[in-house]
Amino acid sequence: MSVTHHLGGEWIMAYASGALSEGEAVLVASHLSFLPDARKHIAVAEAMGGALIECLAPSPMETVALADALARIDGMHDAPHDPRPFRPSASASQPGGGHGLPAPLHQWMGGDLDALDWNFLGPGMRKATLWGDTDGQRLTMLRARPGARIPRHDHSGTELVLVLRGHFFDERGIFRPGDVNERHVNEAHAVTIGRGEECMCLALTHGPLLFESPFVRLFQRIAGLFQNPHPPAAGRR
Amino acid sequence: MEQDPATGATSNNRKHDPDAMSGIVLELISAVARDRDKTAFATLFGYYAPRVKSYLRGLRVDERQAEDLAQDVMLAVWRKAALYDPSKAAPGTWIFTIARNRFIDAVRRDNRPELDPDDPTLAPNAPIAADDDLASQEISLRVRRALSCLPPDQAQVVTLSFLEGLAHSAIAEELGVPLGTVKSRLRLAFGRLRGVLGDLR
Repeated sequence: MSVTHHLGGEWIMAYASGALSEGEAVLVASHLSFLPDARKHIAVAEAMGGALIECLAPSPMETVALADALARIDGMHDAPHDPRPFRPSASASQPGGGHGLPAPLHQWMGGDLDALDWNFLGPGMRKATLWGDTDGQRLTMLRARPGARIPRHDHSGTELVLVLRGHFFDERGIFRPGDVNERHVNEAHAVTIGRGEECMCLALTHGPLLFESPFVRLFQRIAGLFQNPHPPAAGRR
Repeated sequence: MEQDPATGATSNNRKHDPDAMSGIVLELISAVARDRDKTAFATLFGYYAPRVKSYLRGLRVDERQAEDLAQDVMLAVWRKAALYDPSKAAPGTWIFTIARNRFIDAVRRDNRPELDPDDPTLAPNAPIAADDDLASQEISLRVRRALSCLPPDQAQVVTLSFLEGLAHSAIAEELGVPLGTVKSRLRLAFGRLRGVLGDLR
């Protein structure tokens, strides 16, 4: 398992700083769980946060704050451990076992892919929306048949596609499980799903895909082809 | 307050010398963990609560809520002191992560996934090997020094990212520079910090 297309350090810093949206954090954490050095990288980025917080000028707390805190401590029952962060059971996080999802994704969404609301995306392709926000970001699970194609298109915002299973390629090369294809405005590409097995990806999109072909654009509008999905009814999972 | 036995500095000076603080803070956390020592907790509270509050104010949390959340963070320090592992993070880093997570939970109300340290799918060939208490303190020290030596344009984006919680696109807007510039500055800063830790890891 070797990741060749990985996210840059700016994403690790954004993850550590807490500045990512929920959908971005799910995708970045899932990607990092494929990387041998992820823990070290996050530790470095979090150490930056620690160093910065130590250097902040203090904002005085109210005079009763400490007394309040001590009173709350007296009212506490010492629990042996805190439930956060949640640890999935060992069986749930066996690599490739059962769900085959990266642990952070599994922890966040549960492992039941069949329970998702799968919709038509394009020929041989289905999508299930996992999360959306009011900014137009969407986190989507995509499944595509071997050999399926997405015609050449540009992007209305940053797009991150993390491969979970199978592979696809574009002019940057082959993307295998753990790889992320990061695309921006003015970075058009055409995608072909590799032969052999179904390709499953986690995709974070921001706005609709902008197809070059007027024909595809027409079908995008009237038939929902490659439509940017609406967020789930609740707005979030 | 008493003098710092290590440096002879008064507590007032000590506040501005995080390097000297680190060992003392480790002692205080372990007194809280081991002995449920409230005096030690009160000292930690006096030092960290106002800094956590400043951090939250920087994230545009209002005064009232920042006060409440800073208190929550310190109570989490009390509860979780026994779980604190000095080999994994310096105290300030640990407290930063608690404060960040509290902010994400309480203010943004996001359900953020954490990387699970026990995840068997993660890094089978990369045990967190030669780390000891010293290494995590050394990382913290070097990161602090490297941060103070960053070129101003890189330091600025790092600060906006961590202390104002701005997304890359929001930083680009704030500074009036292209998104790609923000990303490359952050990437350079990260690379530099990784570089100063090269021989440690």
